[in-house]
Amino acid sequence: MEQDYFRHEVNGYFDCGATSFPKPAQVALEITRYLNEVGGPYGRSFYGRALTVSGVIEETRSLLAGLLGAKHPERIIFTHNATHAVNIVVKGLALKGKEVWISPLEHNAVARPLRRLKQDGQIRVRFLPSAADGRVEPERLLFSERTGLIIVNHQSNVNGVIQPIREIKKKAGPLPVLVDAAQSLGHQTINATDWGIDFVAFTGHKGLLGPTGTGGLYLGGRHLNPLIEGGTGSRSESSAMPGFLPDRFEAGTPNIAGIYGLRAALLHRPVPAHTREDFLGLIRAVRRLPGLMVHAARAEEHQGELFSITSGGMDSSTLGLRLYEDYGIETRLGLHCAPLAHRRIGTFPAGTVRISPSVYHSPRDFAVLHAALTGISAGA
Amino acid sequence: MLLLFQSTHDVILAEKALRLAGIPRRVIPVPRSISSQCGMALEITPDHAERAVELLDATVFPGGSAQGDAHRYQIYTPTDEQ
Repeated sequence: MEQDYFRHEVNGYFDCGATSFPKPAQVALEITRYLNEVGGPYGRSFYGRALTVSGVIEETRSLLAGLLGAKHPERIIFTHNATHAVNIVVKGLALKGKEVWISPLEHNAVARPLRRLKQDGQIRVRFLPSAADGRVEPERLLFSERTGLIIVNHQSNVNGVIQPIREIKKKAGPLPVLVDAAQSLGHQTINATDWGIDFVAFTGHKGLLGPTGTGGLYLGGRHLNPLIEGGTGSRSESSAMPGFLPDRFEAGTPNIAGIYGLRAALLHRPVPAHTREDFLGLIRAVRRLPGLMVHAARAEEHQGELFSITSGGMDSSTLGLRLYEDYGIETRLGLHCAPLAHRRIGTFPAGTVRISPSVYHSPRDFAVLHAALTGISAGA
Repeated sequence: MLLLFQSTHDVILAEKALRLAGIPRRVIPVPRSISSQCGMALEITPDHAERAVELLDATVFPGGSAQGDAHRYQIYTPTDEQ
């Protein structure tokens, strides 16, 4: 009975760091409306259907530009996800012989493309100096002349640490900075133009509450070679990719249905069901439970909307399984595709159980999660 | 008068600006005899041409027609025909 209660009356889905659920109802409605009623291409044709679809795509681009503090919407490129966006930058910049500095909390979306370049003998990877929780310490930054790129995961997908990207960019000066905002956008503020950020990679399906298969890249003006080349519906007589934005980085038909859904998510964003204080209160309460260890930011003002836990008495797989089978609470276990981050915070290779809520979680949901952890803590 | 744009992004910006300003415009395919630009062009009647260009230059493409940093749009009139 208890299990049924938790499953049906409470939002026990705490894996929004993987992908958010639920979505605003309009997301599915708009996707369906495009597929069943609207149809038609983005650009490439002149009839009304194409104009309507193209207008929706461009409106979405403008909404995203507003969200990122980007003054020029054409500098927002649609991609499949944040990983795609990161690859456009890492493989599109001229980095041969350069050093790439990264935070110690980077995801494999960054680590693996860099590893490829490193294996090819093109780059050297260096870590930005940080505190024990992995937060970069801007005052300790000192970049060499060979620095070609600095990459910072804005909000860790393991312990939720928020990086001081504005201060890092100030220290970097003219050196290009790529912000991986996969976990932060929708939760944290970014003012790309005002802060002088060169690149922002983001996804549509996490904090923005849109569908999977949507995402984008903000380009601040650096020269990049396109990762993918092909048809754009423009300059078709030329076999070369156009030099102008956004076409230079948008070969092939975009995920139109997904972008309809993303636009709906941006236009119908719900009022958060919990406050920041509710969330921080949850972390504090979990910290007090015996036998459990919280992995979060050292200072609460640096805490984003997710954190990890481990148990002294059981591995993360068992802890996650207990949460699910005994209480219907869904979490993400293991290394979260971020072995670098787990090494930095001392949880490699065992990994953690990640708690990542969305704006839909209420204080009551948090109380139920806390009650479940209390039960596990008492029995562990 | 025809307005030709380098990208779909720019066509949509221009069409929206003209629509909001109440300037009549017709979306037509780019005549192949003129250009291989993006698939949409905007046709403006002569009596609205000057106002349309002024609006676009003032609000959408500050660089002006065919003079902006990337030649974002071009004006084509029948008198240009050889």
